[in-house]
Amino acid sequence: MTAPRRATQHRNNIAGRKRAEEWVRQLLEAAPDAMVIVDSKGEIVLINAQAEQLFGYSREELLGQPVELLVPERLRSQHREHRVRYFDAPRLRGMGAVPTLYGLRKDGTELPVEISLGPCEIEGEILVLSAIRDITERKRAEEALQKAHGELELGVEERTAELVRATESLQREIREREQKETELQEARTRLQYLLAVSPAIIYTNKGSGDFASTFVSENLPSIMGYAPREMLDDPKFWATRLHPEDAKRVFGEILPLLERGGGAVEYRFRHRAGHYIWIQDTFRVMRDAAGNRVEIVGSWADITDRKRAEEELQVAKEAAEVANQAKSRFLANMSHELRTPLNAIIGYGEMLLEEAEDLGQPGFIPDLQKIHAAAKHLLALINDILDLSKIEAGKMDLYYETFDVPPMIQDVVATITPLVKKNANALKVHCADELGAMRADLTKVRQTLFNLLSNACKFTEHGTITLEVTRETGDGGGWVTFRVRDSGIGMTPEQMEKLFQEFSQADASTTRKYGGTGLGLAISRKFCRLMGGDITVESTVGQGSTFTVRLPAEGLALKAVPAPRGEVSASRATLPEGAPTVLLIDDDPAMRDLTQRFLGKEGFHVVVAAGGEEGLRLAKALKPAVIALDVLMPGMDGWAVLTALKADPDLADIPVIMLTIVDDKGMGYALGAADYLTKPIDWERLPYTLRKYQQARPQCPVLVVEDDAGLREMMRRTLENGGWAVIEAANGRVALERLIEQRPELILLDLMMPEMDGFQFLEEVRTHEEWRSIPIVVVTAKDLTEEDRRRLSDSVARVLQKGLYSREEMMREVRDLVAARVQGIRGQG
Amino acid sequence: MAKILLVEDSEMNRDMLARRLARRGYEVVIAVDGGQGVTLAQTEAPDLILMDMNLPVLDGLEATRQLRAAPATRSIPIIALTAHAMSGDRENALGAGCDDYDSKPIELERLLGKIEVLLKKEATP
Repeated sequence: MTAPRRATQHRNNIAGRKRAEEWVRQLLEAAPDAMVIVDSKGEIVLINAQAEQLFGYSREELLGQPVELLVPERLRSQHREHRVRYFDAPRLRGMGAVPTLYGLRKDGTELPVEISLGPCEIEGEILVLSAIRDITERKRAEEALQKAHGELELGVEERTAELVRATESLQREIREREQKETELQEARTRLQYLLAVSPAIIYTNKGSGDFASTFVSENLPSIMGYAPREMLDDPKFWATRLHPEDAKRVFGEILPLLERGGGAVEYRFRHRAGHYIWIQDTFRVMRDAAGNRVEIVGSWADITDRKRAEEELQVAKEAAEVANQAKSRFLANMSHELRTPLNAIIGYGEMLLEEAEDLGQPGFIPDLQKIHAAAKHLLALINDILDLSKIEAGKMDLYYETFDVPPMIQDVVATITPLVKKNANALKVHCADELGAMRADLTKVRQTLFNLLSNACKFTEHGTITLEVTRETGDGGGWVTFRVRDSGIGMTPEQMEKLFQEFSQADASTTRKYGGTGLGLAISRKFCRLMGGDITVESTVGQGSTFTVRLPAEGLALKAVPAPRGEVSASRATLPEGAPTVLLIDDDPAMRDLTQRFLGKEGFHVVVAAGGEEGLRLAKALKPAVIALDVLMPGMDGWAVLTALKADPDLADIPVIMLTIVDDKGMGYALGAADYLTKPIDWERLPYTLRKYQQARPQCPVLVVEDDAGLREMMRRTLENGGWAVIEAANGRVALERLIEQRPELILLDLMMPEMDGFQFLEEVRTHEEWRSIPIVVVTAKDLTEEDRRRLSDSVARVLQKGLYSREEMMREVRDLVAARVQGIRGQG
Repeated sequence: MAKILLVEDSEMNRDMLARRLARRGYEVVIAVDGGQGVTLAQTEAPDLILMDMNLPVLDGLEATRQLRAAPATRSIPIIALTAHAMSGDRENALGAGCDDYDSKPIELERLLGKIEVLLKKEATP
């Protein structure tokens, strides 16, 4: 290079350098980052405004300063080493290629920076240009991101664990549900099978109004002819198909049954084909937890066949009764017709006997005697048959009279003496002293004794016949006992069994050998029973027999005139207060009279009615404890009366005892009779039977307040077995509701109960004047404190400790309290 | 001897009883129906009447009532005779005014006893 050229070049160089510097400066200022240019000694030669701003120094403060001024102290030596090494081999390093560095501001704070480096040669001098970028924000964002990421991971883990737990629980639930569903399915299948095999239709309905159906089993068509849809679509299906004659009765019967929780009714129902079938409708009321009626679940069984059989039975029975009465009438008439010619035979026979004696013709006498004896025997037979048919027709009257016993015995003995002598027997008579008078039907007593004595004479030869008469005193006049003992042929137990049956002697050969009608003993026993007594027998084959007649000494007839119809017996005044009322419905005046007197003596108020209509009227008016009802009556017969009684809700609960010669217990029970006694009435059984039902029917129920359903059920059963009606309540609140509906005779009260306990209940009861007199028995398992006892003592009749009292004790307690209460009420009234 | 009016429609019974009573020494007057019985009771003035209950024209109950209603015959003892032994016969007869009652077939001794009792009562009022 030449000098001028060099000079020019130098000038040019200087100018060029200045231009280049100016150019670099402008470039630096335009860059977005802080720019610092450092020379090889590490001194800052150039910075831009961004660098001033970033580090807080002015340009003047930094120019010529070592670049390490901008590096935190802890990193300065390291930085110096890197810088020196970089100048050995400068090369371009882009942003991010250098790990994160930190800068130091003038105020001493550090900042994270990213740096890019690049060498540049200016006039042979190597300079390093560094671009510095503040990455505080980026760092912070990165850290936040990092942190967020960490948190997210944690969350995911937790969520995953939760998910696992949830899944397990879900699976468990699914398994359980599957198990339940299987069970449900089995139950459903079982139910379907049950419905399918049931001969009855199963249904549910709404339980009120027209009893619209909500479900019905598939066998509906097979029994009633209707498709289930027809029934379910028509809310009035059931109500409109009831037989019009049954509808009123059925609704009348159903409503109280619904209150009681269920029951059964029978009615006619129209089949789809138009005819009626008999249905037995058995149902239960389903209630929700609050005790509200939800629906009725029930069954319909076709009982048409049974009803038809019953009707046929009824018709057959009526026909049999009519036939039986016709038979009795025929026998009575026939006997009369037979007696008229017999009358002549006997009469003319006796006359011929007398005339044969008078005219001195003794040769005719034995033959005439035979004719006379045969005619007398025939007459005896006819009389027996007549007696028996009268007894069977209920037309045998008793003529009570008071007579002295010893003359009657003498009379009988005088009559029997020829028969005693016939078989060479001896008759011994033992009459107790002071036999006195008795009241009975004299003719029938004589006929009975004569019958027994003549039997003894017939079946004894060369033996002894003893007649023993004794008297026992006792309530109501005592008894007179006649004992006829013979030393004759005796009887086997089998023979004795048939002894008192009509037309039945010990055996057929007996009839041939000994004669007789075979009716005597049957008639005698019936006579004795009509008079309130009986005949019994003891016998040993070959050793003889003993017949014992026992008759009430004062008869059943204390007064000769029967009480007027429908009026309370005259003996009422002498009866204790609270004597139960018995209504007797019988068309036979003798039976009415007899029963009234007899039961009066047994401590009953007896009210009599001569016919069905009158009986129903009296039953309504008097609400007797028991009704005794004859079957064979003119007009409205006993079956009709029984049916009417059972159809009347007010009277249906009164026990009815059938008294009849018609032995048809099945009919009686089918129609709702409580018991059945066959005429002639067994007088010892009658008062027993009446008392059984009279005691079995308290007028008012017992309210059982107990929250334990099992215990309540047990108490209800025990009480019902004892003949009490029972109302149940699960707590005090329910009990108060029941009290409003119906006043019980007695309350059995538990103390510890939910909702309203026994103490609260007692307080409520105490605030009602009309409830205060109801006896309350507390039945509790609670150990009562003194305080408890004090609270109870005001209003509680008795405290029974659960587990410490037996059922019998409970029953006795209930009975005593109610009896005392009933007496109290009657006493006031 | 006592005079007995026998009111009986059955010829056989009438004949038999009349003859047997006559043999016992009673004077027997016969009537064959209730109407005749009432008439003869007034004209014959018997000591006692045996009255069948089942009679034509006027039955025994009605005849008895008429006899009891008339002053002339009011006190004549009457024994009712009936073939029916059913309930109510005795009450009906006694209710109509009969003094006693006997059922057929007649047992002569029993009937005679009843006759004698009533005649004696009549003789010693």
